[in-house]
Amino acid sequence: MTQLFSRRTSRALRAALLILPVLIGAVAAGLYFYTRSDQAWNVGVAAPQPIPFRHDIHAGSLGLDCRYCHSSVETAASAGMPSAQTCMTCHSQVWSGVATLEPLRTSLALDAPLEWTSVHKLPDHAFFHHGIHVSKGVACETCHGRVDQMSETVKTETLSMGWCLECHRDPGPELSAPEAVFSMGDATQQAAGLPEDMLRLHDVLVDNLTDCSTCHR
Amino acid sequence: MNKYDAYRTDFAALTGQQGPRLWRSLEELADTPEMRRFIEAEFPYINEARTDRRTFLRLMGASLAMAGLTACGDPTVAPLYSQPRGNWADALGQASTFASLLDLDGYGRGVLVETRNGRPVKIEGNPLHPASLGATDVFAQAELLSLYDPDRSQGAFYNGKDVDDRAAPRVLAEARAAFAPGGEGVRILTGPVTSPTLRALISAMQREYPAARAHEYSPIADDNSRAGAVLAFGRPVQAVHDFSRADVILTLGADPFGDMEGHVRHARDFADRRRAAHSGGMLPRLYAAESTPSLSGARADHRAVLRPAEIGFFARAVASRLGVVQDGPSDVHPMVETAAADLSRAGSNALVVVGREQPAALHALAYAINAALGASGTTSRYIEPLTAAETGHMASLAALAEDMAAGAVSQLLIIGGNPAYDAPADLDFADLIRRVPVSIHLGLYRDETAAAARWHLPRKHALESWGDGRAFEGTAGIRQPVATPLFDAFSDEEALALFLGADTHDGNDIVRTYWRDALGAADFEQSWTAILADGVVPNSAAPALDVSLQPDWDQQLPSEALPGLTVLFAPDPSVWDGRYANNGWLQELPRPLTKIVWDNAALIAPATAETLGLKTGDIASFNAGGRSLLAPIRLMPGHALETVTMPLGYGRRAAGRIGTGVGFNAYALRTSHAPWIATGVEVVRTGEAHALVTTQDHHGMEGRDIVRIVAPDQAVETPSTEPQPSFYPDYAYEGHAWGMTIDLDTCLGCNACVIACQAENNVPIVGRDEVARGREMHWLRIDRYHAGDVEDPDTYFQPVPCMHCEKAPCEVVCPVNATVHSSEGLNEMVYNRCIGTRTCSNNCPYKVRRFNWFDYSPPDPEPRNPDVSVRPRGVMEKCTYCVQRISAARIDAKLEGRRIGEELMTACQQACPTRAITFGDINDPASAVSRLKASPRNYALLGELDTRPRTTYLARVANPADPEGSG
Amino acid sequence: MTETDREAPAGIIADIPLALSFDWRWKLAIAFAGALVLLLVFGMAQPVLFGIGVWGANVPYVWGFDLVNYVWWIGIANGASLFAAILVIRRHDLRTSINRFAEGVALFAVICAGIFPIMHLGRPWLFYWTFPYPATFEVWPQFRSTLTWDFWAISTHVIVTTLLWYTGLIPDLATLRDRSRSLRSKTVFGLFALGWRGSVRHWAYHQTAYRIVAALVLPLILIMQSTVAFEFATTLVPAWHDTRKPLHFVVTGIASGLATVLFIAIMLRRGLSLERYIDDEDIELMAKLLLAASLVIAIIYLEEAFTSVLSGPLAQETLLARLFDQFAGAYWAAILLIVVAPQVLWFERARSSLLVCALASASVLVGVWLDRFSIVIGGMQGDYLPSVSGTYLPTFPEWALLGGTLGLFAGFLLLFVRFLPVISMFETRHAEHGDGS
Repeated sequence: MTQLFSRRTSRALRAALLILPVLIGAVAAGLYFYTRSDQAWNVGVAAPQPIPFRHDIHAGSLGLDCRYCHSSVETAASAGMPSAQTCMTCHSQVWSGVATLEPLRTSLALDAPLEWTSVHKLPDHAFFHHGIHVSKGVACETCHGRVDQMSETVKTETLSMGWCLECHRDPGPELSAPEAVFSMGDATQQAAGLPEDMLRLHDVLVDNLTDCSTCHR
Repeated sequence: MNKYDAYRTDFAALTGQQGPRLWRSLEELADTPEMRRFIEAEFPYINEARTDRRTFLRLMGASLAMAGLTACGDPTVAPLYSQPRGNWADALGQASTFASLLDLDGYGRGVLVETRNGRPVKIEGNPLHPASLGATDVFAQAELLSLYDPDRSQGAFYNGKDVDDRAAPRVLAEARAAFAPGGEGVRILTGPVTSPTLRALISAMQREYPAARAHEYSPIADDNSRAGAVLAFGRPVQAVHDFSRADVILTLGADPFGDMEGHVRHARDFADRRRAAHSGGMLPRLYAAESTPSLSGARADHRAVLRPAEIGFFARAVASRLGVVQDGPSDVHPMVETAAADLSRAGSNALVVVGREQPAALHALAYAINAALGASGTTSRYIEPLTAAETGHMASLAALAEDMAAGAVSQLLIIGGNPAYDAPADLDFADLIRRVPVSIHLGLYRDETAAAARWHLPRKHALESWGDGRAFEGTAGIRQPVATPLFDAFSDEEALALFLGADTHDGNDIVRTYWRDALGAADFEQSWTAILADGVVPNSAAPALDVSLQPDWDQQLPSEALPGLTVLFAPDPSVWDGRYANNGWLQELPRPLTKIVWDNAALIAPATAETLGLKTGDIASFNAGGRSLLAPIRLMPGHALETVTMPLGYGRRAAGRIGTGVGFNAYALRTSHAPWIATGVEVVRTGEAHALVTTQDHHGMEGRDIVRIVAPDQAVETPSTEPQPSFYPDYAYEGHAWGMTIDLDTCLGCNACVIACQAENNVPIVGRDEVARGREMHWLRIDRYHAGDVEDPDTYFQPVPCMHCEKAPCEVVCPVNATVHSSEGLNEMVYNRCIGTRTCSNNCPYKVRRFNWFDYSPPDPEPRNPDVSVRPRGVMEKCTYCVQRISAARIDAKLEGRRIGEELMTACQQACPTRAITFGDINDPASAVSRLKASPRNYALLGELDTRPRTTYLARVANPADPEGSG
Repeated sequence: MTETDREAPAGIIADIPLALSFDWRWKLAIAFAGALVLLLVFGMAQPVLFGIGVWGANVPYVWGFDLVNYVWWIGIANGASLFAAILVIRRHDLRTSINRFAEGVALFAVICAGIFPIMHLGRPWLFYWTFPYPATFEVWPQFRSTLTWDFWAISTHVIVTTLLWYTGLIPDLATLRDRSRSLRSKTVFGLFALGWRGSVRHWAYHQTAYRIVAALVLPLILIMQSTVAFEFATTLVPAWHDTRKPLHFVVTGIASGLATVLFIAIMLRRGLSLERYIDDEDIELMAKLLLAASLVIAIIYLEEAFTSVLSGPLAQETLLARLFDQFAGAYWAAILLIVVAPQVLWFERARSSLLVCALASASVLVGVWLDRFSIVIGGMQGDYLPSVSGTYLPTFPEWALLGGTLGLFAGFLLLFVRFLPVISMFETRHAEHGDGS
């Protein structure tokens, strides 16, 4: 009876076996890089909003300070969302009639909150406090990017735990001078000061920054 | 209160403005398929455990009560809200705290309520309030859960049928329209009233309708002491005890630290004096003569176990030794001599306290002893009665019942209370209510009385309404609402105002108006704001009265010679008189001395039980005066012979999903003429048994050094404090290093810490069946041990939280680093990293770790501390030293550029009435905790294992009088 | 090659997998096993859907059947492969008859064992967190924990036993390839035969490889069984905290492995009428080994009691608890089944009776399971604080897991019997030619 597999085919098959590890390696590498990629974390993806609010106009061209609207960023865990009244301080005169601001007027009329969609949502088991970060020299831009150039608000960082840890392990290089915290664009230049200077300047105690309970309770 | 207006939308979810009303939607939900799935997912084995649909619904109630409806949206969507106007702390999810007042049987306990987004999330004691001094009892803590109870009444009904929500004003107005001239036949029944405002309204009514009558009733009221005062002083004064000045205390069937009004303050004063003594000074000594083991009795240095009748003889014997009376019985009990000697030595710093269960004559005798010792004015003073009903509450109710039976009552307004359930059985009050033409019940629940009354109107929860009340020593406090009412309801004051057609029926106006008149309109606004901020009306304590003994004060003590057993009735440490029966936190709170949960049992001495052929769990039939009651018994070491103690407040028929049908109803044996002590009770075995669920089965210490007891000024001998060698390097702590001490000398085992921890840390309740399987979730448990002979053992309490070991055995065995050591020495538990191998619990010698065997917590429980994760199924959890509070304190301190100070307290520490728990930075030698750890009484539990726990104990001090009776 | 084909042994053995259909007994058996596997699915679905609260576990009894079964299965796996490896290395005659399915038993047992470390988790779907991979949250497993060692132990075990089994199979796969008639089976067997031609070079390589793998198995097995023991020995639990645990686990493990192999041998011999290959001597030899193992266990039990007595009050208390407290039954039953029952094998007639041998091995298997129960569950009852107490009662889902894994094991074995040569043909050939290559 004839051999089903010739010697050559047998050899080929055995050789083929060697490809297996290569394949596995390739898949692993692929996973490694995808899980660190922007699309895996929706970086740069805008969310539908009730009002097409533009940071580039308000924070950029008009040069409003972040704190004008996000008023509790220095004291509270939440940066705070502006009340409809806050918007109305200008929009009762400017663009008062436009349809796009209808939700704003409804909110005031019905005395019901206006619901935006967050693009910087952290998981429930992560506790984040804006006040402490800002007061210790973490600039808005460091995490939120050049908001002053965004027509639609998007994430510029993955906000993955690894990304948080990079800074929590060695905050120095990421910190900005107090006066630069709320300014866009020059935050990085300001931070060019020596990391250890920055740590001393903001009196940051690094060793409990990597305690689990710092973020998970 | 417009600061809450913006949040009506949030409450819409709860008030059920979307869809049907809450209490209905629960029932409906329980029948929808997705609900069934949710139920099966949560309690798959409920049905297998052969529990009926009621139990299962009850458990649903439990979880939904905390869920505040399963109204949880899609988690992937993350809404951010722009509030219409304003930008106050709430909008930012920050805490804002308000002072308010909670009452127990009329007596106010000041509280501070922390709210987030307009919702109360935690209750603490008000340091400025004399009845609290910053501490709370279990009931104050548990009110939070009651506020969100989905079983609360949410609408009026007429003869048990729903009517539209806004019926109340109409109903009350119609009732008034039908008043006979002079208010003939108009009756109002309230609980004990200390509230000045309410009292003013009542007297206003009596002015307008002279024939109308107001009655007060509480099943727990202390009529006997009032009657005793009449005997002793010829007038119904009220005694206020001051333990801060008491060196020698004798309790006669009393539990001043457990259930007497002002118990939180009493415990604090006693503890403070003991602490002071540890650093030199007289160590106060406590003598307890009692029939039922009590918290005070467990803490006593000397304890005499006496039948109820014998307590009187004991008191007379002591009195005769002190020369208060001539004829005293001899050799009642060896403790007589020592106690008498000690009392006379202490003189004006001695104090004799009598329990509400004891007969008036005994109270009179005690007043006489205190007077003879010169204690009146120092350790006890007398004030005008804070609650009305000079006749006594029981008599007041009996009088009302008489009129009702005679058909003399045409309109009856029942404000709060639940007389149809807790009135003495012989009055058959429920039936009497039905005979009244117009009976209106204002209540928090659609309870037994609601069912009996013509009309039921929903009542506002204390945390939703304006009001006021007096503390046990008379200080007035203001109750301000801290939450928008969840339902359309009325407070007592509002309902009464409507009933009487007062010009305003807005709680705020009523209370303000009263106090404007009381305090004078001059700069009222400022003082009012200050009062609201403090929660206390400055120097409003009742003045001490000058009273003198009547010549004929000495009455013969009732001596009963009836055959059979004596039954003592007592308020339950968890559900009190039954009002907290539907509170899951309290039902699952192990009763301090028995560790029973979700049940009550008739307590009986082992010897007596043996003669009756009964053992724990047997159901016996108790028959007296033609009434009979079936109850499971539980052997109680240190209980008086031929005596049975029956906790009141169970066997509710209409409590709600949690409380209905739990335990037996002891009121069935209670009569209006002998409300506390029923004699001549016949006990018959039924052969039936009932499984009582407890959280602790073994009661001995098996000869191990677990609770240490030392003599005054003596140090604990610890094996060797030399740390043994370890493979793992020691940690260096640059900043803080947190530690805790628990003083077993002042711990009373009152459970306040346990329930405070539960409220602070979103600890779920798991239900009776799961506890029976050994799956209770309390992060902090209180171990209770007995030592000595079973007739009269010593009882020790030991709170056991996580020890936060320096060499934590749990840390090294976790495969995924889910429990790790922090840079400040905390042993941290990272829920989101835990995969649930349970090895850590295995390796924990203290067994303080708890595991989520099922999804015990609904996704969005209510109330919920937003700073603490709600743990999912399959993860381990445990005491964290309230790490969320540490974090908050650290951030505040950093923002203000200072170090964390003593303002940082754990929830258990803050709630503790005796300040037995101390927490702080052991790196800071000046901190309170460091100083205590230096104490010679300081020792580590299971120290021989060298886990080097951060939580250590201070040994209990035994302070018996030496035989001669001199200190 | 073709010449060997006419060899009778290969013929008969090879005919089994090549037969077109099996008789009703096999069908019945596989159907029963299948039913049990369904039970396993149920047993696994319960905790995943509802939470492991469906088990009787609680605090302090945090572990139940999950760990008992795990320790039992891994013991069988280790025992069987150790046995097989020794035979290969020593070129013992038994290997001709026993090796092939002994290796199979080891592999299937470790698969059954592998289920439990994952299933016993509160959140089984996250089991891979014990594997050190670069996660985006940059947290690594804790290498001090014996449970992480366990991860390595099990995976190593699976790899090594598979290698041992497969290496042994290659020449026979070739034979099947050549003998099978249908193209499909030719192709399948051919693929796995890796182009085996039986040349002298092939044989030389093969024998070396086979022995190297076998040599690898020896130490690994001891290490892995000890690792399992460490999971208990390294804890603070008084009943577990001693250095003799590895010894105990290795010895009892070997016994359970032997018992399984003997039991299966008897089943195969009766079921497939392989009297010629699994002859009376083989059975008798195995029986003797089993007897020896049970005697060693007797010593171990004595030694356990002795060391506890020496180790101080707490250890004594916990031993007394295991001997006389709520789970005492398991302890005494274990002694009865492991130590006492096998003593019957002292008698010639008993050893020569298949029934008695089967019963003896079965009793050892059950006994070792009870030994695990007594150690795991009985060990958790004596704790440091008297206030901590409670009890453990297994629930139906736990029984389902035990029965289910038994079904899975049987199923694998039946398929193995059906589609692969259960006796090593080439070894048999060498044996019957009297030339060990």
